[in-house]
Amino acid sequence: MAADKAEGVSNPVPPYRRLQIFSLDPAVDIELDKALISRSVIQVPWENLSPGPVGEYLEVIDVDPASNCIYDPIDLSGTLAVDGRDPSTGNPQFHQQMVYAVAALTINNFERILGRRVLWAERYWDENGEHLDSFDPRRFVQRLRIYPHALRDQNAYYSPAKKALLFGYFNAPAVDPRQELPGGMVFTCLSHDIIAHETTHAILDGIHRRLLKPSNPDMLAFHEAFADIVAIFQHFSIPGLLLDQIQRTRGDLDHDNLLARLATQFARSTGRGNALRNALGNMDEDGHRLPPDPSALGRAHEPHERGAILVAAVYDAFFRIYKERVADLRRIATNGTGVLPAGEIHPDLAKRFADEATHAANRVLTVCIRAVDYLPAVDIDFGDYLRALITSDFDLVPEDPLRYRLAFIEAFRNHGIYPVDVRTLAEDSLRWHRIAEQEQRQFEKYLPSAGVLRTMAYAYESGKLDGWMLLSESNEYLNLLDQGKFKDAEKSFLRLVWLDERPEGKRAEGKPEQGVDRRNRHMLGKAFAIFLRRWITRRALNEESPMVRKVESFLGIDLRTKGNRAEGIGPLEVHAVRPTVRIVPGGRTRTQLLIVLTQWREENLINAHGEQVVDSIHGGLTFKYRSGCTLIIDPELGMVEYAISKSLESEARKRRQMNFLCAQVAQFGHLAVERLKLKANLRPVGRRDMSAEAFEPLAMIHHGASADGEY
Amino acid sequence: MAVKKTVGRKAVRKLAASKQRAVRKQAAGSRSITVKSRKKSAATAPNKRLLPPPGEVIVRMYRQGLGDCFLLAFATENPADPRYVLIDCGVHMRQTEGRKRLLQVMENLTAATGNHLHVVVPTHEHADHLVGFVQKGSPFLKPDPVSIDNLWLAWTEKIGDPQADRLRAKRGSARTVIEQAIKKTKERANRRIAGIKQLTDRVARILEFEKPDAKMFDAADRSAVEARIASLGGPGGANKAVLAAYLRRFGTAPPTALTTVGQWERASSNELALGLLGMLANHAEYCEPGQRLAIPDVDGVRAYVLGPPRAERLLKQDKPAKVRGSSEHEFIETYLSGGSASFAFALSPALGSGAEVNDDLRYPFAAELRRPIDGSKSSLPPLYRHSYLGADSAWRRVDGDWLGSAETLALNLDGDTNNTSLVLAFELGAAGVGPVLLFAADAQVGNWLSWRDQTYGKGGGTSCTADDLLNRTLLYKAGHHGSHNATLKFDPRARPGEGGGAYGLELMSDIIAMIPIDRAAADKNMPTPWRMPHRPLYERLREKADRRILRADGEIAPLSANELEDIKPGSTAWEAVPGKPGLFWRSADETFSAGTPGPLYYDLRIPIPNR
Repeated sequence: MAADKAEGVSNPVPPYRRLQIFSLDPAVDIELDKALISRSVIQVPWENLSPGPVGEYLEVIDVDPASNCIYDPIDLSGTLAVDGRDPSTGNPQFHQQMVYAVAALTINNFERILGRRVLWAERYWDENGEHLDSFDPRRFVQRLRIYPHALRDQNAYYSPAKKALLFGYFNAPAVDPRQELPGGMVFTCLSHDIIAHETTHAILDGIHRRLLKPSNPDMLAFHEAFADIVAIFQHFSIPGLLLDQIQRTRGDLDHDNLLARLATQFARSTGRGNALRNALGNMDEDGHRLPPDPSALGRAHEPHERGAILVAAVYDAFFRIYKERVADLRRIATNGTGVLPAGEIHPDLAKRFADEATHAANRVLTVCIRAVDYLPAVDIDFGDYLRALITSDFDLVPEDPLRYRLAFIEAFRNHGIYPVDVRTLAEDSLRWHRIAEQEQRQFEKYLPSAGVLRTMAYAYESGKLDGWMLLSESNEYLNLLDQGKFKDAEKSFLRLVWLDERPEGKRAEGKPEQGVDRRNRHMLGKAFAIFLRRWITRRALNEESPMVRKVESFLGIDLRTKGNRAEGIGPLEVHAVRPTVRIVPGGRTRTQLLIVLTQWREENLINAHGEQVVDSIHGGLTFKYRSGCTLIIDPELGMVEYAISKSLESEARKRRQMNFLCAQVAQFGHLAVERLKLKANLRPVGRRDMSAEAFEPLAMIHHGASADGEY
Repeated sequence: MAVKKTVGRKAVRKLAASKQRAVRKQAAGSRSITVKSRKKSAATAPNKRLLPPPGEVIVRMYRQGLGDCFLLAFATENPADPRYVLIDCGVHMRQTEGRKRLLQVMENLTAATGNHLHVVVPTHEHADHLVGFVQKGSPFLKPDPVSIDNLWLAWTEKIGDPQADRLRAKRGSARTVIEQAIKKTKERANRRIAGIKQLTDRVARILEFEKPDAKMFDAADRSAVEARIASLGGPGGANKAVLAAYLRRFGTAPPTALTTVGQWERASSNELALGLLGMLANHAEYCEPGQRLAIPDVDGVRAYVLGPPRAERLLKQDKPAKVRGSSEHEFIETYLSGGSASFAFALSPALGSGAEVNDDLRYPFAAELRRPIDGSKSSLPPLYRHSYLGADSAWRRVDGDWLGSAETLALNLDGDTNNTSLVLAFELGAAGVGPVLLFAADAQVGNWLSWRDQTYGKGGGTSCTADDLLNRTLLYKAGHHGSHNATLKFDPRARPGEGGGAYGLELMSDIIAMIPIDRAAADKNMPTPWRMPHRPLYERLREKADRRILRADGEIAPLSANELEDIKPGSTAWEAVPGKPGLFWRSADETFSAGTPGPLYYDLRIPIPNR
């Protein structure tokens, strides 16, 4: 990034900015025995910050409407020497610093693991509630907004409509004074876990926006679980915390510990025990993990509750890997018995345990985040996630001598999570089907040449290419495609992508200035998507060859339709074209190109008796049955590696989805109809008055969630 | 020619109508002057009187819609002189033509009882249970009123009971906070907050349980009630009337709680209704949980008071707590008891209502760190001016999101009031064995759970438990119009191995259910529809009642056409209740003239076994 220009003297840009935070949350800070680990200094990538802080990805705006005031923004531009403000609950500037630091750390983890820039979800509606055109520059949201004191409530959430994180603060109700000051202020923006959790929601929404329109009980649950997983495995990178916890648990990380607990202070101050959620799952009185109940998943319906099971499964996998890794250390330290003597363990041993735990946690976090790229485009369930985990890990590390992938499979199986569409739970049948060479030929016709795919994969990473211009000049190659001149269109496309010089006048017109780097990526992605969509539809339209049917069955998409909204048939949509770069063992980088295709069809919502469900206000209900495919392409060879699809033609999947929707309607009535858009042309929730609908799907706590004992 | 003809017809019709009105007016006038003639007229319509056969009880469920009104007629030795118990008389403002329908109901009610009610049971302070007593044209406001012998009230309504006074004061301050929140938000609405109107509307609508809207109860109605209370011997004026009425009911010196609340600018319509009833009744009974009540001159029937509980943790519990370990359990309960009070505490500074404590501690940060928004814009940091208030940024503002807390508070308040519901179980026949009529009012989770904390009928020889009463329930008036948290299925406090957790409806079997619900009213977008009846509960009720479900509306749109319809009375003559030998039911021959047509009421005749 550009150098810090202070008074004409150009200082060398430091790689990191060091900032102090509460390691977990302020609750730990007031316990004497944890005093040494309660605060830490984390390093986030250096960037120019203006007061707020406002940087490339984030803008912290500290307005507190409930108190009818604002708090002055912190200026972190020149705080190299002192690591920012000291942790303090009574200083709003520290709050701003901490939300910024933890959110930036989370973003950095994603960028490091996915090998590309994080982009936030697009904005879909303008001030007046009108739908923004797909090419409208206002669609690009450069910065996620963070409001550290937006609510006076026991809540915090990512608002998909505002592209903002809203944190609440509240008076701790009468609780045990040994844990919290009754009536004292509790700030959710001072909890590492809550910040990381909400930031992850925002990042995931930027990658997979369909997840928020659930078509099965796992989708919102996955959103929650994934956010928890990131928060929990980030604990392992907090300096000091891990070592301390290893000492305390004597290396037994399946014993109740701070690493596996989520949002301790929040939970205590709202009477929810020691953790809002605990990755260890169920524990006995002494804090030892109990064996999981594989039937629990079948009984859990609420998203947080279901999500907790996925989190427990992932932590279980982590623990298996960790145990495997420290088995030898344990034997060495105990003369082969494996039984540690009573009392504290040797500091050196603790340090070695900690190293192994860090390694295992890193591996788990990497796999978990990488797997997001291997998910199907729509209708995701936990089983799909397991398959994505296994496949992405296989792609990264083909040899698996310690059988870490088995750890995942076993942990998931023990928690009752398995895919419905595999023959066995062996690793090779869990992996997504890899497109064989002879199948490859069928795709060739429907995808542009390797040169174009390569350009898409690499041009994207060069943030200096002009996506805005490419988009505004797209008519040139689109016309050629319409005329069936595919080769000419490719040439035109390639020329325009790499064209550096454009007439001055043309350049200035309507071009936004800010955030050039990531905005360009956003625009390039759009331009690529338009090109691909036109290419594929022009190639497939009106074709009747067996080849096109084969490809359709791979993609699960009807390629030959132009789409007809009036008849309830959606056109082919190209959702995302993005590269993913990863470092493979041996140190080389490997780039893959991801292309996400989707399509929908408006279907009647039919219940188990075979009749259309009728709502007293909206009449007969319908729903958008979505299908989609994630293509993973090797750009070097222009070959499709995976086509991870959910088919439009799958009757069984349609039935499952309808059962889910029927249950939602039965439970939530019109609310379900409006939120899940179970009627064509229904005004979508979130269009204008998201807050008015009180529908923030990702709140930490859902008010009014049903509990035991009620109907 | 044709046109002229139509006009002519219209004119004729108009004339006829005005004549009719005049006649009606005259009739009304004469009624109000001559008391005796009116009583005669009631007597001259004996078919209107509700007279149960000897040894039976008739339960009349009025069908005004979303709102409760039940009349129970118990036979005495004299077949022409049964004892009447009225449970609630209200309708929610969501109900189309609710006021007119309720008037028609009350007309029938007075005729059916010969203007004499032996017991009136106002279950709790919500308009959909009480507004009938004070609405325009109510027979309870007429100079020659319905006479009331006894009033059965929950202990929570007692003035001078320290616990009740404290609860009332808390509710009062919560209400003030919410009203302030709405007011403040409207004041700030010039900042163009997305969705603010919908949000304030929604919060305001929750409060409407507390007070009916202006159409149903306006300033004129209020003065009428106040005047009426004054004419019955209480002093006039807004607050004094209520105070006096309360005092009459209880008869002590002015309780401090009431005079110091201070936020009571004006009594709510519900408080006025209770005040009026207090003035009308000869005797008020404040019911404690476990108490046994007798109906005068009726043998072999008694009513047990199940709720509201004295234990405040249960009184505040509108949702079941999740219980994991035993040590956590304690704190969960403590937390719930503090719930809404601390919400009120948390919100009040933001609203500038320094009613309780006016100190800095309620702000998250010290005063010198706060920069008020209301000052001149130029003094604000540029970040705030440009990014937050700048052009095309309204979509990301959060000015209104915190009001979600006011909504939570309003919901809590609503739930707290529901939990003060007086729940009665009428036991017919021999104590400890007879069938039970369970009127759950709007009791929510905590109220339900508390029933297990005492035994019933100790004084009368045999005592029984709440589980016994539930087991023997024959008629169940569903809680809170069939909402999700007002009928319990499970006791979360019961640990596995301690007799299991099944409770509430799960203990009942082969019942008849009544749900005072009009789905069309609940469905209205005002601004959000209500889930009433809650579908899973409804399905289970259908199983438990073998589809014998009486409702105040037409049909719930079935999820599938294969679903069988509910069974209800099919004619105006008595017919046997399917599957229930000895029981009969019928529907009214009178139908509603306003809103959705349909019978005015359903009658259910139940024999009182071996007296």
